[in-house]
Amino acid sequence: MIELPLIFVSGVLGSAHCLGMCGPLALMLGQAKSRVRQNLVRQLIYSAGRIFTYGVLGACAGFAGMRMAASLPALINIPAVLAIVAGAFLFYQGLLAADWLPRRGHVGSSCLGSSFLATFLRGPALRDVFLAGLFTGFLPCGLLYGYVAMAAGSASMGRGILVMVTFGLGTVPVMIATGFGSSLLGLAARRRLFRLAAYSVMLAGAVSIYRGLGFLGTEIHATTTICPFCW
Amino acid sequence: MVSTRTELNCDFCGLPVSGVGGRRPVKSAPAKATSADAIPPPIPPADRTGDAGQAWTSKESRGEAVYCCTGCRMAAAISQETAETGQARSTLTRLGLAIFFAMNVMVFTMALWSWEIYAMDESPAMHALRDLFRYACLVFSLPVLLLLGGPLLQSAITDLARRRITTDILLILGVFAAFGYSALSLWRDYEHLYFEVGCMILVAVTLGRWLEATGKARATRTLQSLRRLLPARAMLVDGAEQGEVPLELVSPGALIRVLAGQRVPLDGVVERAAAVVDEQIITGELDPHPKQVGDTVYGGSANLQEDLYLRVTHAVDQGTIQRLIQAVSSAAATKSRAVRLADVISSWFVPLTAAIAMGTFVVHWQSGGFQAALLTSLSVVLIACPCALGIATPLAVWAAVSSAARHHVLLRDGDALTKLAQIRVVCFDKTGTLTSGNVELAAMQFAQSADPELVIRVARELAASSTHLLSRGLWQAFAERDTSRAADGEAAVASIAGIVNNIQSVAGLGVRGSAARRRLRATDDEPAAASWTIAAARADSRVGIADAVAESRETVWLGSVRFAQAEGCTLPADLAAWLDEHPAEAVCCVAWDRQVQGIFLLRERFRDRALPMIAELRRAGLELRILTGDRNSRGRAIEASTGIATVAELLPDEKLRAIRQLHEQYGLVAMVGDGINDVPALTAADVAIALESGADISRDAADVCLLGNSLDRLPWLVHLARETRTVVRTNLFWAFAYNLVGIGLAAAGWLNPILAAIAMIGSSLFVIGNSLRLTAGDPRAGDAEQEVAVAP
Repeated sequence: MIELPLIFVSGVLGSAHCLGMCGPLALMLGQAKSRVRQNLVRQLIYSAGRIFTYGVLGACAGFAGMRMAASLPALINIPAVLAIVAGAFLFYQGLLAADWLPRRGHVGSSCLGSSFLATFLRGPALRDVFLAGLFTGFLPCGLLYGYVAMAAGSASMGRGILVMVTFGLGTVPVMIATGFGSSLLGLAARRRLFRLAAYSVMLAGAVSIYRGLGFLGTEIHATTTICPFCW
Repeated sequence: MVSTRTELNCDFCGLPVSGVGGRRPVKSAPAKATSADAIPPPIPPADRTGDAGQAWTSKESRGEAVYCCTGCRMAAAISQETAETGQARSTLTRLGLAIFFAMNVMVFTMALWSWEIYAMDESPAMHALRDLFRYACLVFSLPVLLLLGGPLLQSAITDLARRRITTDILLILGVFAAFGYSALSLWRDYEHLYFEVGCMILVAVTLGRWLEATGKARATRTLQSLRRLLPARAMLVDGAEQGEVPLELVSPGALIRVLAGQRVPLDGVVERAAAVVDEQIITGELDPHPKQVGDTVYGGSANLQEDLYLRVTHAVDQGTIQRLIQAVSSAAATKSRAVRLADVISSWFVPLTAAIAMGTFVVHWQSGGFQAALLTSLSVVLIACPCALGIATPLAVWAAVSSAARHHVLLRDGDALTKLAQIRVVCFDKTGTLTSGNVELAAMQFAQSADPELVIRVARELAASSTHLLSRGLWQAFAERDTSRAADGEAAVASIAGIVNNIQSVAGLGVRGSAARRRLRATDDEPAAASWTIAAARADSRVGIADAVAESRETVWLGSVRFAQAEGCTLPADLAAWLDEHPAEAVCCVAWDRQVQGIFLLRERFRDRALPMIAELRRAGLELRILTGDRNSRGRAIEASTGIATVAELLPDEKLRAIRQLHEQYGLVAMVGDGINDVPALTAADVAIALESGADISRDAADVCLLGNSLDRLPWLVHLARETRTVVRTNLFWAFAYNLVGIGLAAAGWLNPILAAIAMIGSSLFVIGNSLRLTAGDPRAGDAEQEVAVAP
């Protein structure tokens, strides 16, 4: 799977544009503890919770993709279609992140889950931190949907998990940096990083679409699934 | 607005207990039947049993707290724990951990399924791995059962003790059957495991109910925020007991001190000192009010400036804010027709579901064996969602009533909302409703020979000495004119200088005075306005009576044209012509030298945003009427400026007849009145909308009270009512369609229990989310009422 590094990189960079939603959560985690070591442990456990959820989502998506590929093998190459859908979605997210498309209004704070999450974020125990991460993983995020679609396109539970965990690992560095409340980068540098992130997400989307198109015409059978992601 | 009902409200969300999910409370505490307790009390302190499962039910069984559903019981327990012991034993943590374990079970189960689908190679290694995954399912399922099964079991046992068949009983039966069969299957090495079904049911049911309870609490949060508004203690400054005491101990007549920056704890009258008070929470008016000795101050308003000493007028449970809470609370608690219907349906729903589930079980057992029977009947129980049905209407009504209260609109009950959505005609009272009761200057015209500034000056001095409505309006207009001219850098006219004295009021007609003739002729040789300086005024005031008598004086008049003519003055032809071209509600003229020198047209001042409000109502497709007891001429004038058909010179009972006639002609009629002289009309209308200040919110005639006289909330309110109707309809349609289709599919065996569990959460979320849309804010909320001049 040669995409994995690309997924990781777009996870790293892509998470920069997600900070609007997840950044405050990471900051909230850090508030309880002032010591660097304690905070780091909390941040890592928080990310572990997120990655666990991403993994489960990847497994579900992979399983769903596999079922679809198995039930409709002769009609259409499901993984290829999913790859195209995922790619289009990611590309769209990239366009949004690069400010090339007008953004729609954000979901307000009226989300019922917010109090749920806040309870865990403020909890002192590491178990709460892990659960906070676990539920953060379910937060609506365009980038995430794109990779879930990609995981579905892999049509395999194992590979689905791999895609999502790789993406999750990619998001760790920026989240941890945010958790420390660090403004390591100046505003201009951050703006450049956001731009880069947008391009990288668009690139991941474009590659996915390209691969999907290449495989669209190929008739496949469930038992000999050829995944467009792993050639 | 106090209802005399016997129903109970849930102690968590405040919704009527019997209205939700068809459940009834265990016990009704006697005190709850009284109207004063219609408001749900604060959540009682935590139950320290150490077992959340018991904590969810034990209070209820002691009859102390009543909850409408398991979700509320659980959410209340969570709030208690969160408040008191942090996260240590949080019920929410249990739910969180259960979700974590359930996710693991799902992954292992999916892995097992994928082997089944693709018939993987049967090598010993793969076989061992398969066995490992099967045991992993068991290992991860047990914590879910332990964490979440307890409360559901507890609830089911309570229901059984009450000899009621509820969804909880059916669900717990299904969960135990799924776990029992799976354990047996694991031991005997049968093919199928259903651990994931049991786990998903437990998680979905618990999560769904928690979300439901949170949604309901959110719909009612206005009440919670109102209740939190009053400080807990008041500072007594006289009598035997001094110092800070709980509000309940302060009786009317006590003197309390309210520090600057604090909220006023109780209604009272200012006894000492003065301050500026922000009454926005009660009246909706943004501008703070200065309060002097003798002024009333409402509990809940904020003291912005100095320390105030108040003589308490109402005990805490009789105070304005408490009555406000009661009004909102009883509005939501009074069941509308639609809610009662939903109640009846949902009380039949659960037994019916149980019967279908049992029927399904029997049929599928015969055709497909125990496993198929278990799964299909479980699906039936899961997919049937009495909650969606039960909360479809009340939650929407609650959300709307609550949202309206936040925007300073009080609704008497849900039926008022229903009728508001159907109104075809809105009738307005004129004076005090559309207009503020004050007049404003619309136009003025002067005789050719007159100096306008001089005319205005004389008119102003004459007007200043009269308390007549028109005089006050005229004086106000001149004062505003001065202010704006001063702002423009022009020389201000000395305001106190007097050229008119001996002013007498002629009752009902006008004012008469006298002025030095040389002053009235001043225009000939010296330009008027600029030369009148303070110095001149002082010189003038030094003129003795003897001088005044000696001086040649002339009579000046201010009043109606008829009055001036009766006094022997003529109306110049140019002014008469101008007057013919400008019909007006009221005319004032200034006269001296035996002729009218200037004419001022006055009109009633509209309330702020009254005209945009009218335009909005018209856009909403409503027929508008003004019903007034005022004279025909004024009626025509207001018709001209508003474009609303106006019926004038109506006696109170004629207004009533007019409303009945409109009802027959168009349909439901809403009447907007200021509540004092419009009571018959308000009673006759289908929806009575009263404008009133917060002082008197408990009046009986009105279905709707616009606090702070916020007339411009009316289009918003009509929109809210229509939205609510749409939301209730979509909710009910969804709930019925979902249950009908879902139960059908499930009974046929076409629905996996896991999908059913997810669909159940989705269904509840749909209803909750759809209803909570009504609590979304109105951008104009909280704007202060101001009066603006209407352009001529």
